[in-house]
Amino acid sequence: MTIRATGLVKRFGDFTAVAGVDLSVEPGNIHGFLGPNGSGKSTTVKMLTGLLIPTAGTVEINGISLAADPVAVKRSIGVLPEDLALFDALTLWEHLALAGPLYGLTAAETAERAGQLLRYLDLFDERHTEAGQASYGMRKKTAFAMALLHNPKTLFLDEPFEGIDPSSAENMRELLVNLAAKGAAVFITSHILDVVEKLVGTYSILSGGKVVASGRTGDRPLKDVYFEHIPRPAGEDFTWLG
Amino acid sequence: MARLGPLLWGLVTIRWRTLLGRGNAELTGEVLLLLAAALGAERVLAYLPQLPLPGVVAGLGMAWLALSWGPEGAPGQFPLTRGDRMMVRLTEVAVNPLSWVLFYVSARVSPWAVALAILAMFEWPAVKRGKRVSAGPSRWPALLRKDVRAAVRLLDTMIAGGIALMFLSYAVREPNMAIEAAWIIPVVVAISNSNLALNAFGTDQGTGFDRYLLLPMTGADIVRSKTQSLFVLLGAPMGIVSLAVFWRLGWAMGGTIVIECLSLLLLMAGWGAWTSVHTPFPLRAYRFTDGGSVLSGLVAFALCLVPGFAAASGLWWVRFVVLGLAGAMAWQLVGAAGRRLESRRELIRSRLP
Repeated sequence: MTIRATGLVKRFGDFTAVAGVDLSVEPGNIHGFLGPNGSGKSTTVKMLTGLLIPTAGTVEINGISLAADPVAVKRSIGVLPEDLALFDALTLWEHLALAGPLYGLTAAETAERAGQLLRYLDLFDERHTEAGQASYGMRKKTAFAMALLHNPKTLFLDEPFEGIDPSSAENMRELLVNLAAKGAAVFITSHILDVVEKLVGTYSILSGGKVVASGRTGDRPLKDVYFEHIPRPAGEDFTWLG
Repeated sequence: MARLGPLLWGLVTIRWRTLLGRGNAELTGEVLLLLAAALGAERVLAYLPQLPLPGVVAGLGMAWLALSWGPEGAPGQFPLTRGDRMMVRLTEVAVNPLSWVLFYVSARVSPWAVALAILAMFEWPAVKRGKRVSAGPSRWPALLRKDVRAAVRLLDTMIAGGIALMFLSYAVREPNMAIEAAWIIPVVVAISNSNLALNAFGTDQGTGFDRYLLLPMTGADIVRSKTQSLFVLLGAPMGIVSLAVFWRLGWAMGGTIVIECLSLLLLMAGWGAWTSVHTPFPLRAYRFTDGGSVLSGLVAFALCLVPGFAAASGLWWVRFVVLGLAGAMAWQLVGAAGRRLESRRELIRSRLP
């Protein structure tokens, strides 16, 4: 398994955000991690990528224990975090230039890959804009490019398509499919069920910090499975609206 | 007024919750600096002849405060008239203790700076800023470049640089430089930059700190990178001061000041690394800041005085003892901070929005 999490728990004081999540994702698979707002998706991703320390449970990525060797794990993964994790004072290009050498790429390799990624994501002309001045979509595409730059074995993407223009989103989707076809594991959280259904091979649905359903796409329509476990709030009569 | 009441009360609640909500009252390095300047630094000010300049910086800081406090962007969503906006600004200023300290210091340093600040509160021209674009490729390491670029946008750094430049101007105009001025000014430069030194992750905000955690770097790597940046940022104004002293007071005094500056750098690097992982708080560009720990600020203040007194003592061996102790302290604390960062990452992140 590329991603293996066992008994993951995260508590913030008295509040339990994640209550015992077990996950496993095979190489070459794109796994969708779904759930309503506040269900613990982002907290789980943060524990899987080392941003949060689990209250209990273990994480193993690419055969390496995250607790035992976090730097080795970080070298082997790419992450598009919920908050994008960019420095306001660096330009979009400088973010990629910063990341490459830290993952062992030469300056020439970094420049070549960064240029390719930014052109493909329609960001090359804006590359000298500081992140603090860039739009949300530009920032997200930069964080996505940073996640891919070092050709990671495992990719974690938190809401990758939210706020992205359709043509860039299509290119991002294509990159992910190609990456998975070459053996990488991709872990995606998203609220957009249609996109997820077309992209992922397996899925888990999280609610109240627990996995309430998991399976393969194609067996049943994802929407049916989702609303079976996450019912919609009851209807209200909005006579005052409109 | 009744219509605005809930909004104004919300702003008051936010301000006091921020100040008192962490279990202890917290103020800023600036408050300490400004109090020191207000209560006993006439001797320092005597060597900084262009007094209106710090007054302008304080006045502009005051005006920015008036515009920036409160929930960012939130009042702008509401249908507020010009008079309403004025009330919001005045409330934001009035409920923040830092604004009263700033008013007091501005009045002492340069009364017309207060007038400028008040004027700015009433009418501030809307400046439409274009996209900030990099000046071009740089040979500096990217993390250092990022820290320097963010830090030069802090009012603290501007004040430290301004003091160093004013001291240089004093050196140009005064061939018989007072020895007292030579050892006092590096201490003032170090203290005025204490917010940055004591809070290395402040300019990164939470998202930047997350990126450090995602990059394949150990806690020790991260703290070392921050220490390098501090040496550049604090070393630049101190270098200007040292050169001015070399020029006017000769090699012996110049050497003394270099040792004093090195000691200050090492003390601030060590104590700053430790406090950065224990009491972090956000720093914002072109703003004065509140949120730093009073205790950390007082310790930094006391530590900065030690090399100053050593330089003033006239005993050469005392200066070297202080330098050695500062080096040992920096070595220990930077290493310890690197190790502790790993276990304290969640706390640091929670303090940086």
